[in-house]
Amino acid sequence: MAKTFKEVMAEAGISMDFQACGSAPDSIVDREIRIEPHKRVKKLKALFMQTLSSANNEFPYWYTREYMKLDTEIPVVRRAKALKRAFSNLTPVIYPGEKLVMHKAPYFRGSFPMPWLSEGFYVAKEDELYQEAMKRGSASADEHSKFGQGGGNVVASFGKVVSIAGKFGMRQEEIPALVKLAKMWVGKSVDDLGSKYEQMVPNYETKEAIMRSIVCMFDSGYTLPQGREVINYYYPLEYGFDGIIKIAREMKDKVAGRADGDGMVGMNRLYNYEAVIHVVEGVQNWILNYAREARRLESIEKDPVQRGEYAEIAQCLEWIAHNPPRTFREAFQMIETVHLAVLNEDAISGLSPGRIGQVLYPYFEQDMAAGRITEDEVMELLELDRIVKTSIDCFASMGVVGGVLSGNTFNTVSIGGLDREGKSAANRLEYLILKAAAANAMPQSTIALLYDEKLPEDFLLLAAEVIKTGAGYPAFMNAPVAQEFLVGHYGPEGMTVEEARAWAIGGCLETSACCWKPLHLNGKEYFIPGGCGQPTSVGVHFVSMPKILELVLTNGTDKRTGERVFRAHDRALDSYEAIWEQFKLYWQEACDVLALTNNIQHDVWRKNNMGVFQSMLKPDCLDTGHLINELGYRYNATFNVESTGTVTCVNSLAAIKKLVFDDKSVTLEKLTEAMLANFGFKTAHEVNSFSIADQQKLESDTGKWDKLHFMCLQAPKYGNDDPYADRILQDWETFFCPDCYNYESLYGHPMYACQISVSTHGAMGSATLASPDGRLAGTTFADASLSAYPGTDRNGPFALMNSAACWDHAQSQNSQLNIKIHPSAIKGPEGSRKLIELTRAYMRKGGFHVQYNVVDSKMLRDAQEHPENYRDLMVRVAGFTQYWVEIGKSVQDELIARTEYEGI
Amino acid sequence: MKLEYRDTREFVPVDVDKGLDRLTGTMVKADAIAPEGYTRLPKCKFCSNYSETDANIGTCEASSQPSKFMAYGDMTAVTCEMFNNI
Repeated sequence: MAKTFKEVMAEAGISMDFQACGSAPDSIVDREIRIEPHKRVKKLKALFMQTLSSANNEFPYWYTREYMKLDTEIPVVRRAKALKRAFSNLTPVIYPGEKLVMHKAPYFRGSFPMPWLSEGFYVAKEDELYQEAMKRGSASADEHSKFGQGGGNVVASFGKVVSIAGKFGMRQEEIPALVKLAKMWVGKSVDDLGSKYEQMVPNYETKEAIMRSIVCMFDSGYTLPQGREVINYYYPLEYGFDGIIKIAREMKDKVAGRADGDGMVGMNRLYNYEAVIHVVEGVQNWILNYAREARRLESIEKDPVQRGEYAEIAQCLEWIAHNPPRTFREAFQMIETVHLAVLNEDAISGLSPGRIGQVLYPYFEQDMAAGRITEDEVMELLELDRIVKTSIDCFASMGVVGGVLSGNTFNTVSIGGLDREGKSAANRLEYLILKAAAANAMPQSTIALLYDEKLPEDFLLLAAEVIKTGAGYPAFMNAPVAQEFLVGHYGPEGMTVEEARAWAIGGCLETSACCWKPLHLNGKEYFIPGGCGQPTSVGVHFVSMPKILELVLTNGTDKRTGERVFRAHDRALDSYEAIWEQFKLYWQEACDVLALTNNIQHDVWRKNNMGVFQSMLKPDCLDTGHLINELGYRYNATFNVESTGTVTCVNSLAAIKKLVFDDKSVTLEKLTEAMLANFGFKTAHEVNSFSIADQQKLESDTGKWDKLHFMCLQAPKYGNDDPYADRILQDWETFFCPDCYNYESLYGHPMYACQISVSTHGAMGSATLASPDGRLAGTTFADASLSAYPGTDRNGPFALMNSAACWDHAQSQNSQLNIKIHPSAIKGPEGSRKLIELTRAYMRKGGFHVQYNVVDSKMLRDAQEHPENYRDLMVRVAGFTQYWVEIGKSVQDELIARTEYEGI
Repeated sequence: MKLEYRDTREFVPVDVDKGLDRLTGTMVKADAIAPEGYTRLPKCKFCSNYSETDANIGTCEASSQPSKFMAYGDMTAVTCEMFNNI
């Protein structure tokens, strides 16, 4: 067999198995802390572990049937009535042992297609609809995206189950209806209408070429039009659904026939309130159908305990279908129901519950004081909630769900932070949230700890203990940095310091605008935080920095596909500055055309597919009568530009600067030639591994490129507190963050920088040639935006953090730093303290985010070889935790390769 | 009449392939034959308004559209107010 990269390096005296800051035992070390969940939770979790991701047509059938009937209705009312019909006809299914009930679809892990968004990608491959969809540039991402081959993913058809998009199972009996429903939306879906109109954008052919070459890999308008935002549960909690309908009716009387000075959309308020009433009635019907099912089960159940539980479920649902909740249990069920309702209204990834420990605290406090509930019962509900959230799937294409999201839907819970008055907001319920997350360790909800110096030390130490379970959460986000960003960016829309304190993470780590609302319970007033901003999953997503640099060096042509992507620049790249200038020009050209085409997709979405239920929840839609599409949200400047491959690009620029221009040890032409030759190695696809260590030399390789390759690998690398590389990162951030403000969203607001990569560093790396830093073709980029490239951060975690904090993180919505630590490095109480001190040091330097993967790399290698033994192994990927077996191979390889710290 | 589990009210669908038998608590295959006496689940294929035109697909005669809207026999109809058991 040809030599691997690792063997070649070993021969050159460079070990790939170096141990950083300590040494780990030879045998596999498991996570230090393991806690058992409640018995009921254990049973339902066991059921989840056997469950396949399943889809059916019930919701799209009823939606389409009603929608097609109402073709002369006002668009927002037409959509609302279609949603009402779909909610009203969903089949209720209650599983034995559940306390928090209701599911997206009638399966434990159910979802469904939304052909009104996109209908081509999921029909049979031989169907002309599918063929047509695949011609579009955006389909290329699917070719470079793979789901994990295990867990609940239905990766192949079997028996009477058909695999769709490599993940979802659907009964064979439903396939004819799936295709027929899809065809009813041809020419009408957001995908089709958006495609028709975006082609009118000058330079559209560049957009298509960009998508085909995976310079960008996500059209959000028709795939996931909403998400990476924080939901708001306030109105249902304060007023109940009957109360909301009452408000909408009263407002209708006030606005009917009146423009009130707004000749453009003032009159729309009447239709919007009418739409709200229809959708809320649909959700009420859905809840009451579940209540009836609970009563039916109560009537036939023989076990008295289970019978009593069905009765409790029914009583709870019958109450919250109409009224504001009175107890912790009712409030929890209410927010669960509202959450699922929003996810059924639209395809959303990253609908984060936000600071539920503070939202539910009034009920917790009063129930505890009155003796209506115990902490143990609260813990059980919190553990059950984790099953509900982990069961949430989103039906979208492989490129989106696999390549971008790794199957996760990012229902992130935030804890900590500050209250309105600037005091620590951590409360007793949040301690229980942390404990429940350790007891029932499941991927969702992942937890974001909003770090502030005022948070109690024992709260932080408890967080460290939870991290040591290996769950990958909580991640730490810097509250003061986030608040500075929010006031800076949303200031023109009225954001104040007090309101900025209400923030939470939307999606995996997107700083999201929230606000305080006064909740009243038994005569006491509490100010609870909740989302009031538009989605942040929208805009220009994700743009590959290493691919742009590659295209600079190849004069705009993708040498992998032979296709021209950008117009030839034909400039002499005779200085580092010339390369940097051209990089910025190509970057701006990509962002510009992507912003324009994305705006058109979202404009089509807002005309016919606007969120009605979600809008009603968010301040200040119910007050103003305008929904999301008419800027009804308090904060609307949420579209952003999202980068991928920052560190791979920084390292590559550092190598070019050092080798070509400073040392003059190689010409740029020779370096480019070496990249095109992949330094004498096979491609990652040929080797079927996406980790650099596993790459193999070509059988025919003569060693021609070895010396140059070593020079590239030895060039300055980010993550070592080395100003040479860090200066390039600073230059990038100094250009990138302000540049985003040059692109305008369809809502008339400037964009801003978003710096996470989710899983795109795998799929995008797969489509990128070797890079000047020595990375080989097809292998993953460095993960996140500030993680070091695997094996290159040799000076320890504090040096890595110094590099990461070399720029002002408050200029950006986020940054992301992932660190992998061997379990033995943070063992015992002393280890927990070390972990918190490490985190505190980074936060004090101004770092926005850090999260820890506490896992032995040897265990990950064993899990890749024997996945059957690791169904419940969880790992931190990017801003989220996922089951190992449900992650695609490229990201698995990258996770194994990440530098593992044996000591800190 | 022999019914598949997935066509009975005693079946709790866990996923497309399997579910729980609510009476025994055991996991069963969705298309396995259910024991005698299990109750038939309302589905379009058991409704007098359903008219099948091709395998697993047809129309709903109760639809109010000028041209009758499509339907598929396997859809559960426990929430359909137009369901008319045959």
